[in-house]
Amino acid sequence: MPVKHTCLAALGFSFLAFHAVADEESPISTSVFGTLGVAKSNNNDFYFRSRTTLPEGIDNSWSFHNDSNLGIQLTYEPSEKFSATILALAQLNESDDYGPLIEWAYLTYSPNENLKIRVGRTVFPTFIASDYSSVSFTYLPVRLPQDVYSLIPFQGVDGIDFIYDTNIGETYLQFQGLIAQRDFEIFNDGGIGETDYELENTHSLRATLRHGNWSVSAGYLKGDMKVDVPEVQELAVFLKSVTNIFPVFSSLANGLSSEGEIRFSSFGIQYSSYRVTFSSEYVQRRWDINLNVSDNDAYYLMGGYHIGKWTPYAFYSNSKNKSKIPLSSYPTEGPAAPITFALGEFFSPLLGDGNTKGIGLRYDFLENLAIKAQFERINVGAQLFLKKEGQPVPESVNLASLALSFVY
Amino acid sequence: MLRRSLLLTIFILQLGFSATVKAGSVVVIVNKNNQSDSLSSDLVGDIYLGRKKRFPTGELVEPLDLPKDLEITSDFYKKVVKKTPAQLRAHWSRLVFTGKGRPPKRIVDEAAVKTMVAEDKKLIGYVNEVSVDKDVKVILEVP
Repeated sequence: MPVKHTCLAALGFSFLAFHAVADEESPISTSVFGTLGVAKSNNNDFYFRSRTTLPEGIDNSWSFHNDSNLGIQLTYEPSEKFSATILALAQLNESDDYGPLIEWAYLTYSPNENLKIRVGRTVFPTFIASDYSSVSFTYLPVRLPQDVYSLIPFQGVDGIDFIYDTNIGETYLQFQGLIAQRDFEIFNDGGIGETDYELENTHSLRATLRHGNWSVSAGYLKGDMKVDVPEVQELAVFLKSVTNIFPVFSSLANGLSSEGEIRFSSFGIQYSSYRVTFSSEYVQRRWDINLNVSDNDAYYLMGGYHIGKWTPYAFYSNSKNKSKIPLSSYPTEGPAAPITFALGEFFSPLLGDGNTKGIGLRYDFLENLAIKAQFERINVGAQLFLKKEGQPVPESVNLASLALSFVY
Repeated sequence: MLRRSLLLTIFILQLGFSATVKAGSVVVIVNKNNQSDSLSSDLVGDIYLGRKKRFPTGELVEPLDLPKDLEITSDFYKKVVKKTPAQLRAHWSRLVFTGKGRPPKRIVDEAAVKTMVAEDKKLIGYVNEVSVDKDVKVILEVP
């Protein structure tokens, strides 16, 4: 644990040292964001995680490690047309420490005021808020609705993107496109633990239309995914070896593969005025093969009412599993029953439908510092839960969170 | 008696003056050679949120901001941009940390804003109406 805190503190001190020599006239600018968050659930048999990359999460003890982070962005802008940006993000990672990761590092060329072309590592807005999901200050709740935002298992991707914006009358339009790739890891419950992924040939596009207080947007991302998961290969070999005796398993045996196309699509609507903030998004995730990433349809509704510096808010999110693993049709009695049971254990983390109801209160102490208190009742279905020692999945979990978020 | 009347008169005049300054005191200014004669409040709001980068006449526009702790700044953002200070900071943080935009430059005071706008056709700023002179053009009066 001391290593985690030392890394976080070192990043903070390096920023302070750097900021002391930077001034407004310098071509170098710095921006910082961070969250100090604590959370606890009412269940000690499960870990709840804010990201699928985490090897563990929070149980019924208060913990800082789920939501706390610190990000430092440096931008070198020698001219209006060229700039270089790097953003180091320290948060609990797959190595179970706060070693800073570079989630953004890119060069920007702006041939005119409407177009930016960027090369390097960027985070694509696959969903509305994907690219600023680490900056908790910028949205109402402690974390974005998990039934939707946990469906994207990666953040930064390496490639080239463009951002083009324009106006038609009083309507603002923005388009963002990307070609990229990225290797990443996630941790799953059940029969498959830590898994390495390779995302390649990724193409994506997001279009946003804003008029007055309203905006609507749609996004699409498509890529080829390879998975290093020997357990599934072994399972496929085993199932194929028994299909002569149990033909009921043949379609699953033939469907298991470590490569396939993954697709995300989303449609969102937002309203923001001096008093009211509202957003809603409907998303789909599809993968051609059934491994440890499920197909899902999900949505959320979120709104808040600003009363001076206070903003009470509420949200509801829902995720339905659409994977075609026909577990319910497999025999639960007779000689094939042990295989059905083993498959259930293996795939059960993928198959649940989940929803979350949340309420919270945000207080903006300063224009760049907010505290949020939040209570959620989660009907467990998302892949953000990890069993500790194989206990049965509870129907619901209560989660309490408190977070101090800032930007600078 | 005379002294009391004089004090009362000064007090009433002060009240009247401060009421004049408060009511409709914020104006949006551009260079006097700018081809636009008026802009809607929504359009100015879009310029200050980075969503509009040219005047309706096609000329480039660059907004200038004032220090955030001034009353005129919060008044302008409440009435024209329709954002609270925290909403505004969240808006720009979303753009800054995703590399999509930078907030307007903050200038030290209204006099400096007026001088800069008078010298550069692409600049737009907001000042108290008492700061306005013939070197700049008022393009929006904020109620």
